[in-house]
Amino acid sequence: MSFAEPRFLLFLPAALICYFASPKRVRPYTLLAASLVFYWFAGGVFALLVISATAVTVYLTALRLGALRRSDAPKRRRKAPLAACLALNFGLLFLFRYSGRLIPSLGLLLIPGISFYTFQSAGYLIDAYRGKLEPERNILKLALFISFFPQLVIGPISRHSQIADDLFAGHGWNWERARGGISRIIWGYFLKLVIADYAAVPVNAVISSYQNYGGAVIAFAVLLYSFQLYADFAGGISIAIGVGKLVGVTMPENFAQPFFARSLTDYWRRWHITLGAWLRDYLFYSLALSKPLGRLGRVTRRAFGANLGKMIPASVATFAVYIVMAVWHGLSFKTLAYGLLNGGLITLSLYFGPFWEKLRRVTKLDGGRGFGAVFATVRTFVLVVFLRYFARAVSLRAALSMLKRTLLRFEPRALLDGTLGTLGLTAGEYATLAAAIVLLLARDAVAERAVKLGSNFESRLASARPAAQFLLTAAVLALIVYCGVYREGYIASQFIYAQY
Amino acid sequence: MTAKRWFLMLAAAALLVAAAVAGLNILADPFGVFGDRLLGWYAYDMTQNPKAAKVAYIDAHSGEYDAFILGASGSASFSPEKLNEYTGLRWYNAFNYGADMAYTEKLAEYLAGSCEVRQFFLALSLTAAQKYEMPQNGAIEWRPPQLGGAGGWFRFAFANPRFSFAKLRDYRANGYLQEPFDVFVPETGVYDKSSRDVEPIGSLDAYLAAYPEFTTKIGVVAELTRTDECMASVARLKAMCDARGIGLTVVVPPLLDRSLSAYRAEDLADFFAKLGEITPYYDYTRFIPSDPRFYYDTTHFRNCAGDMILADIYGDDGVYVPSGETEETELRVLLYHSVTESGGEDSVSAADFRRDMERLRDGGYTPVGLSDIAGYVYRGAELPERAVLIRLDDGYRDNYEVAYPILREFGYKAVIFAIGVSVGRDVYKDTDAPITPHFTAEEAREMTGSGLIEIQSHTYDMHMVAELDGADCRRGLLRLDGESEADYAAALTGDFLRSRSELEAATGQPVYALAYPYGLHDKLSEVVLGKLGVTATFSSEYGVNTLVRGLPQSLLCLKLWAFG
Amino acid sequence: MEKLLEILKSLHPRVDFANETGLVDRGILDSFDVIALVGEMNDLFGVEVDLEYLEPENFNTVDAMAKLLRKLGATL
Repeated sequence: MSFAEPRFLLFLPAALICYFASPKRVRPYTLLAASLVFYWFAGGVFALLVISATAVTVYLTALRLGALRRSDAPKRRRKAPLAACLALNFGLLFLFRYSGRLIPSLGLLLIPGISFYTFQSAGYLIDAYRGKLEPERNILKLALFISFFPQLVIGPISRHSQIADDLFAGHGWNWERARGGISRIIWGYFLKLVIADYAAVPVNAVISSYQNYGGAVIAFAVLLYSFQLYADFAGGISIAIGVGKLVGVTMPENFAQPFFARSLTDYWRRWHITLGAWLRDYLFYSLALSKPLGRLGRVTRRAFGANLGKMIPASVATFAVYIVMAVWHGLSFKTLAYGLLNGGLITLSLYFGPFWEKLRRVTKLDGGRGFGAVFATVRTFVLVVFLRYFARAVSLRAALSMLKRTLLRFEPRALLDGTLGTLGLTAGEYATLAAAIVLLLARDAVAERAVKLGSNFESRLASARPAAQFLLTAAVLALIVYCGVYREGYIASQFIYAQY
Repeated sequence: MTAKRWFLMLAAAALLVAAAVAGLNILADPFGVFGDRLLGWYAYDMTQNPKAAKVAYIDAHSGEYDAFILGASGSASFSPEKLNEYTGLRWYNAFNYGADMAYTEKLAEYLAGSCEVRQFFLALSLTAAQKYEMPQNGAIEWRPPQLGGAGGWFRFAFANPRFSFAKLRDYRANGYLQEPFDVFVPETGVYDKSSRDVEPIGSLDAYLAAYPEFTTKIGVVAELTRTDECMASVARLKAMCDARGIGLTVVVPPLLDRSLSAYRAEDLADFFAKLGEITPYYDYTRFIPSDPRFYYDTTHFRNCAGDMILADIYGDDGVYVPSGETEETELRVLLYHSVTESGGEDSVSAADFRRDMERLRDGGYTPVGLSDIAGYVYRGAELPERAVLIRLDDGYRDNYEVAYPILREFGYKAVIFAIGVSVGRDVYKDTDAPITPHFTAEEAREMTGSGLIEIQSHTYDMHMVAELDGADCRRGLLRLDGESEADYAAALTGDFLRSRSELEAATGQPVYALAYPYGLHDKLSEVVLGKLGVTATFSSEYGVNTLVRGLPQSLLCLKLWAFG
Repeated sequence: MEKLLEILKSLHPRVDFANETGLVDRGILDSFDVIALVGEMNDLFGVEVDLEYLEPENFNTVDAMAKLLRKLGATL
């Protein structure tokens, strides 16, 4: 079930009413029940069975790991249950996500959000192994952690330490928190219904038959896709975080103004933050500081010198991270290419790091301020859009073909001669879309500035003039109503990331 | 702002948005539900949702009507004006496209309750036995609140605001001609067929080429699955009419053979049997010829066919009704301008003219007059085979001096199309530029008095000459660049009315035909002239004309004969 | 202590490590810096910084890093 479906809009108030009406100690269990109902709507009984399998195996394994740890068992013994449980659950993930690809006859067994909850529970398990937390004794509470409905189908991927206390505290209604929650929910629907659903129309039209369009139109579509994806994903996250807030659970942010990144590495710290953090803490460090890679490092340092030698294990780990990230999006040549390109570019920037540093000092193009900052941001944005060719094209060959067209058959005239009008949006709809994107960028700009100054974006917003707040809220609501509620032939298009 | 106050602000913003939506929908009123007080554009509202808009219109004009035509689009071509003539009541056509019998029954009940209804006229199409209580897909099919539509006024107030915006946009784009968004004539409730009713129609092949839908195959058998429910509604309607003393006329409208053959014989027999048990009815399914030319499209028969049916019901012998097959004949039109003794660059010589008349005689052609061809089409009169209509344009005096005597000699009829402003003149309007002299009113009266010549319109002053009129010159009777449609309609109307009144005053003959100056015509001019009662028009294209008995459109844009 | 500062300076010459309190939280040290740092620490101080010690708290200030190293048996 997607957040934009009418069913969810009926489910949510019902779930909230049940939550607040329950006595404090019962509330976590109400949340669990609501989450199971939600998941039943989303994936049916079969999905409930699969997620239960994960919950049960993780619960038991974590307890065992805790017991082994307390009895000071040797590392080898402690590793076995961890490896087994991880293998099982990632095996299930692999099976349900990719089996359709390898064995087409299996069809699409859709287990919504399996990527999200598998990663989330794996993180819990590894934290238990590392002794960072006490394994949960109450299986229902663990089940709630794994299946908490706001984040179940779209993330963010939370750590146990981040949300457990609030999740089980049974917080009551709080006006401040509710304000924050409702604001984020409204903003999320704005992003989803006004930007993402409309941007999707010309993007789909061009990408599905790119051979009919010149490079400029293709570039326009990929650019628009960057906004579509951001709005769709960040919108869903905003709704998820908002709903969490209503019940007193503060989930980690997943986006930090990604279009204001100064470098590709910076970008990946601002986009899908929780996945990046998960991969860093559970894959990257494990790999980079592992014995095999350590040995490799010593070999390469001897062979290639200190600088390059040090770089090699780091880049192996980097590639691993970006390949996993790419495969997380889908198993195909184009996603692998996407992962390799990202990994490669970041490795290159690692290697050339000192060189760029020197260049910056010489040309005074300081990435921190003024023209240098703008240049860095624009350069990164262009790079990100370039990489999106591989993310959105229907295949690797199509991506390369689209790039070739963009570079060799640009045909900028097509942007002005009415071709854009044939892609499914009217002039009015383009204008609204553009205005909404501008609003989104403005909000991000203000938030970015707030980060710079160390101030709190939300409190700044709350202290703005009431008249301005009223008008802005009314405008956003009007757009949501006009573009979303009243979209002719409106069918809730599934959140793009919900297939993960 | 405190959190609580923020929630109040949020509620206020939400209320503002809701009020804006409702306000827009109520003011623009794209379905006419709220009385359309701002724009009063019922033609548009009825096109969007005829159920809601017609009920609103009738409510707004309650007391003006006491008889209603009911049904689906099979009722569209029955004219309230004709019914007013025949019955002396005040009729309104309350049909709704897509209406099923369940809705028609409800509508009848409502009308009987809110107006003093004396009669109902129900055209019961066979589709009424195929669809019953159809689901309402979107705002365009919502039932009016007065008839108990679910959600009532509230639902319409919060319909998709795009309908309202579309209406405001279309209002600005609205032109004189009927467009896809205003297909109704609100004052009578019928479809606005002003454009289709002035389309020139000729041979069947030409019509089929223009409207290929008549030739596509109907693959599937149509089943009459809802006959019982449909008849139950008809029975209840009949009972209500009997109880309230309302007269009920039930008619089964015409269908093309190809449509009729899609139904099974048993279903049809069952339909008529059940109908007959409830009420007397007229079966007009095969009344008019199964000829696509009598239909606008595969399901809608023409207004002229509707008039034939009404004439049959009310015994009006003045309207011709064809029986069985289409009756048609060919007509050739021969065009002359100036006929002089010696001939010349711009005129035909008397000798050549005489020779043409001899060739007609030898070839077995019979010249006929305008009233002859009008009689054929409108009253089913006879026309000789190889009929020819001799046409003389502009009204030159040499027509009177040279051509008329020759015609008299042969006893041949002809039609002269005179330019009003040039009658009796030999200079061009108020200039001194000499022009070929034109005959006078007295000469016109003499010619028409003979019974051979009819004088019709070539416009009053819309046959301009570029060299002499300069910048104000029209091309034929077409619209000037930059002239608004409304202004043009007024100009053409004024011009034709003057032309007609002066010619009629001069000759005592009715003027109802027009030859297009320079052969130029377009849809707008055709519609305007159609509204003025011009029933025959002549163009300058070449071809053989097909006249069809009972089909007024076969008298339009009559083509010329290349008599070489 | 100086050796530690040397390593840090070689990674980011322009950062004032002595007074910074949010080296990881404020993104001054990214994940590559951390593994480079850990590699150097392991080599120079002969310790083995395990994964479980990769907490932001242990790397946010120079003092925290020193404390960690001492805990692992290094002599500073």
